[in-house]
Amino acid sequence: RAHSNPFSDHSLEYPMSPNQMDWAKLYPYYHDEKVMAPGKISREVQITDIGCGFGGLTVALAAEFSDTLILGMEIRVQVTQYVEDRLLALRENSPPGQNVYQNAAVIRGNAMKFLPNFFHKGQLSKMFFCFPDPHFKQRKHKARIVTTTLLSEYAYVLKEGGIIYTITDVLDLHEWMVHHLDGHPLFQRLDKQWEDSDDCVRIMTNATEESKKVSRNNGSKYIACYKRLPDPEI
Amino acid sequence: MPHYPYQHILLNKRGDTLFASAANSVFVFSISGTEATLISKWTDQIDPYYGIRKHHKDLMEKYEREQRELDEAGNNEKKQKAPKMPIPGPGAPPTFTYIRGMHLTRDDTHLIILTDNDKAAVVFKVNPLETGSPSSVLRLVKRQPFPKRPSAVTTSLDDKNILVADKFGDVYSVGLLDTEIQDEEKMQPLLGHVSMLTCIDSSVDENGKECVLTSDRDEHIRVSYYPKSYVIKKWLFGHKEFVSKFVLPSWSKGKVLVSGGGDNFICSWLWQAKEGGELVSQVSVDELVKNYLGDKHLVPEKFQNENHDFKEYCVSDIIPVDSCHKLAFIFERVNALFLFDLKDDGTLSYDKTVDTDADIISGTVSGDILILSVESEERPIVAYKIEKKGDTYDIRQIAGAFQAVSENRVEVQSDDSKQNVPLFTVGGLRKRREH
Repeated sequence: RAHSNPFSDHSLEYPMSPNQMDWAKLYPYYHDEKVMAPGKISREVQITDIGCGFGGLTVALAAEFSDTLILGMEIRVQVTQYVEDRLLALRENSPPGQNVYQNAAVIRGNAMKFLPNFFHKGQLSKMFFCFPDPHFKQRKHKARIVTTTLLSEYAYVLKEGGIIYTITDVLDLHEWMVHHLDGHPLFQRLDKQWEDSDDCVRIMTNATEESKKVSRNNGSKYIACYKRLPDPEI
Repeated sequence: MPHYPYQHILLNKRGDTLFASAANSVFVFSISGTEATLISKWTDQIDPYYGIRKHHKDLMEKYEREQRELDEAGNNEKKQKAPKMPIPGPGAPPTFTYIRGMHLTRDDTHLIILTDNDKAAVVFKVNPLETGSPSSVLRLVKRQPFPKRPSAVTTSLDDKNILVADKFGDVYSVGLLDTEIQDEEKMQPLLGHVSMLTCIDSSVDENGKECVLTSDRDEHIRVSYYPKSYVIKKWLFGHKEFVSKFVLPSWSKGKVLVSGGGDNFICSWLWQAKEGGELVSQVSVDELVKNYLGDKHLVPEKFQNENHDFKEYCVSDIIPVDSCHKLAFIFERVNALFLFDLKDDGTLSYDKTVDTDADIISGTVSGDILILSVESEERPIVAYKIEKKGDTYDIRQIAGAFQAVSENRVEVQSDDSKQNVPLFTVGGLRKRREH
C-alpha cells in the first residue's frame, strides 16, 4: 500500500514521554553502558525525516551530517522494516574503524499524533517532509501532514532558527503547504537564493526514491523551506 | 410511559439554580433548601433530520448546477436522476436531537449547551425568574454551528469567548455575546490535536499568562497559551489510555490539575512545574472499582481473554467539592461515587466510597449540596449534604430532596427510541489496536 490512514488506531510503539524513550536500541553506538542509564545515549536526535519512505533521504543525510543523529519516521510497517534492514546492512558493511551510518535510524510511528512523545521542546534543528501523501480529496485535508494546527506542534519540537523542508511534485499540495506555513506566525519562508545554496535542499531534490521517480517521469519538484521564528511575547 | 434519565445536571455557584438536561430538553429549577421548583423548560425544536436535509441540499445544488451546465452546453443526453432525500424508512430507529454537553460561564450568567444533530453550541443568557416570566429565564443569544461535532466547551478566563473542542481534534473560539453567526465552513481553528478532544479548560501559568488546556483520546493533556495558542507550552505525560476528564480545583488556585480516563489510575499534577516534573500522584483505583464491575463492563468478545472475564472501566466525570477540598469521581456504569482528598501540594489520596442505588450518569456540587443523576426510573435524582464532623466530613443522603426534578421529566415516546440517547459513551473512547 502506498499510504496509511493517520487517524486509525494502529498498534504503534511510542514512549510515554521523551524521557522514557529507549534511544540506545536505535543508536547503540552512542550508548555506553558503563556511564549511561539504560536507553540513554550521548547525544540527541536533531534531524527528522517525517514519512521517510524507503529511506533514501535518511541515508543521504546520515552521510552528509556524520556527527548528527537522524531519525526517519514512517507509518507503514513493511516500509519501516525495509529501511531498518537497509540501515543495518549499511552499518555492517561499514569499513573497519569507520562506523558510518550509526547516526541514522528509523522507527514506525505516527508523527501527526506522537511527535511530542519523542522529542523535547526545541530539540530538533531540521525536519523534512518529502513527497508527503497528497490526500487529494477535500474532506481528507486534515490528514495532510502540514496544517496550521499541526505546525504548532512542529514549532514546539523545533529550536529557534530550525528549518522545515518541504518538497512535492503535486502543485496543489505545494500551494497548500505554503499557504499554511505562510499563515503560521512561527514560520518564515526562506528565499530562492537560500534554497540554491543549501546542501539539504540539493540532497532532498535528488536523493529520495520519490524524487528520482519524479525526475524519471520529468515531473516538477516544488520546494518550500521555512525558518522557525522565536516565540512572540505572550 | 418511562422517562429519560437526566444526562447532564449542573448547579450554579450560588447553588440556587439547577440545570438538568434529558434528551433534547433543558429544565431549569430554582433551589431553596432541599426544595426544587421548575421555573423554565427549553426543548430543542431542531428538525431531527437536519443533518440529512443539509447533506441533501448540498447534493441538490450540485445536481442543479450540473444540469444547468449541461443545458448551456446544448447537451441533450439523458440526464441523471435528481438525488433522493434519504429519509429513514418506517423500520429505521427514530432519530432526534439530544444535548451532548452543558456548561455555565465562569460568572454563571450564561448557559452553553452542545447539540448533536446540527453540531452547534447554543448560548443562553440566564435571567433570574423575578425579572420576568418563566419563558424569559433562558433567553437565546445564538446558535452557532461548528464544522465538526463539539465534544467539550469552556470559556476564556474573562468569559468573553467560548472555546469549543470537537471530535476532530480542533478548538474554535467565538465571542460569547457576538450575535453574528459565523459560517462554519470558513472558521479557522485556534489549535488542533490529531485526536478527538475530550475536555477543555483555561487557567493561568506560573507567570500569570493565560493558557488553554486540552485533553484527547491519545493520552495527551496539552497546555497552549491563549489567545496565541499556536505557541504550545507543554504536554503532561503520564496517562497510558485516553483522558476523559480533567479539572483545576479552585482551592488549589489553578495550580493543580486532576485527571482520569481509561487508565486504572488517576493522576494529579502540579502542571506549572518544570517540564517532566509535573506528575505528583498516580493513584491506583483498581481495588476500589473492581468490586462494582459487572457483566456490562466485559470487553467485546473480539478482545476478550481466554476465561471471557476481562472487564474494563473508566472515569466519566470528576467533580471538585470546594467545601471540603475533595474530588468526587464518577466511573462509567458504576453505582458508587469515590471521594479523594486533594491537598494544596497536589497530593491525591483516597477518602471514601458512597454507594448509590443505580449507576451514576452525572453529578454536580454547590456549597454543601451534592446532586447525582442516576439511571433509575423511580428516583433519577439523589441528593447529599456534606457536613463537617470534627476533622472529617460526612456525606449524608437527603431523603426526598428536590422532588420536582424527578417529577418533571421527558417521556420516552416509544420503546426503541431509548437507545437513541446515549447515556454511557466514555468507554467507547478506548482504542482497539489491531495492526
